[in-house]
Amino acid sequence: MVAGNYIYMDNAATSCPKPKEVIDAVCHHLSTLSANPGRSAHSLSLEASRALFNARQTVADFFGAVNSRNIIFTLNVTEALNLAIYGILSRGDHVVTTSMEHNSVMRPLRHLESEGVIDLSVIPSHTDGSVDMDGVAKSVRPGKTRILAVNHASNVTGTIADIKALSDIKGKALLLVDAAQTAGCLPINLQGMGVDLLAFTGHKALLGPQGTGGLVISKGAEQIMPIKRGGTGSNSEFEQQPDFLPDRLESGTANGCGIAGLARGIEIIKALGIENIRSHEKKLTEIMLEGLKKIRRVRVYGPLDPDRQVAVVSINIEGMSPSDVGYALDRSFNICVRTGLHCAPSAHRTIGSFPQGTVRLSMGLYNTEDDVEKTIDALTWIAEHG
Amino acid sequence: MTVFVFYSIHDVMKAEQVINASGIAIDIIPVPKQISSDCGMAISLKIEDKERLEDLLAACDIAIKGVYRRISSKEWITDYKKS
Ligand SMILES: Cc1ncc(COP(=O)(O)O)c(C=O)c1O
Repeated sequence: MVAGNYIYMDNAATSCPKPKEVIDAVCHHLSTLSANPGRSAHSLSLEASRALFNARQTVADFFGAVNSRNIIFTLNVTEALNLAIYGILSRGDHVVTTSMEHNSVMRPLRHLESEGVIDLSVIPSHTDGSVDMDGVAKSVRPGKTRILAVNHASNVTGTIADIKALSDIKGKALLLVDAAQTAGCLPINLQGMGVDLLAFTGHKALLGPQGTGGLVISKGAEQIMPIKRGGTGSNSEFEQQPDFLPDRLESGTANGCGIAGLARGIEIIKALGIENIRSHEKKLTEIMLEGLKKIRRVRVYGPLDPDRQVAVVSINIEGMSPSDVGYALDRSFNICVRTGLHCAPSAHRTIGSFPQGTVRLSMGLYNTEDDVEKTIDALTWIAEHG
Repeated sequence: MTVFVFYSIHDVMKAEQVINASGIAIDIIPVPKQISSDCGMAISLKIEDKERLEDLLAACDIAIKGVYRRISSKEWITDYKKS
């Protein structure tokens, strides 16, 4: 879809445009429900509490969580990942992760490693971005490995990880999944997939506003400790943090209007059917990959297979820097893409595009086949003239 | 009047949802001062409906923190409470 006069190919960063229903839900909340949820029992506060509760239920149903109290709302997936990592790990724990992780996983883990708190094994992934399953299986130390942290799909190559298979080899470790690139465009079921902790962000394929996200906690990971403490509305007579969920992990007034928008985004996805969204995005990916093959001087990274990736395609044009390609796409063709390292330097080392990075074309629900064809035409022109 | 107190606002909201489907008439009120200094909310209902509500909450796995009964405008007695 053209957002204004632009073709938006940066959905892996944030989905755009937002559906009108989401905008309306945010506005409705701001104009009628903006009392403080859970802090008082007057009618307007109750309405705000109900809205927050309903949103929690919507998220819980969507991801197949055991109970809606196991949904912890956060600002984004970065905060959810920090909560999982700092809330679970303690001195002496071992953690296994992959070289394809975003800095929102890598930096907290590297921090704990440099502080001498954890022992970290980063398993190099294959050059198409796929997980080295043998490498992971061999690195898991029985009784020692506390977390296995992986992304469900890479934000650089789109490569989808087999979460169920990872769950089978994690041993007693908790499987922490960064679903930033998949929540809203691939089916996710916590129990069916054997996920212990699922971190998601609201502003990408879930179609919600920025400043929304969360952590979904399975029964087996409920012992997670808070990283923030403060007012929760419940148990105000005590100076200690409540020990029950969601209050233990959620302090301070929530992003009520944002969460209302997120819940509406999820309802839209449910109504459309996630399988239909997936096939639409697969089709766009297929057209993109086919078109790119025909352009001389273009190198495409990743699995090159719509079945094995989400609608994220990273490329480079031989002899040109990614930023020059991105600039030309934007200024000459009104096509918005993201270039560079995408907050994942280790992933670019893995696929062989460090330090210059790549040009990332990422499609979403509202892109059309025409958008993809125009992008291919533009890239063809740039490759010939650039 | 009987008042049910819960551990979290989330549980009150969940209780309200299942109660609405059951037809029991309730009100959500600020937790009375005599019961607790909590700034949160509680569910009040007619004494006759107390056992029905207990059964319903047990069936839905919603924990009750305490049940209280009002015997005069200022006096409450505790049916039971958990820590
Ligand atoms: C795989 C992955 N993890 C984490 C993030 C961070 O997302 P957010 O900025 O919403 O926390 C992103 C997106 O930027 C991502 O693609």
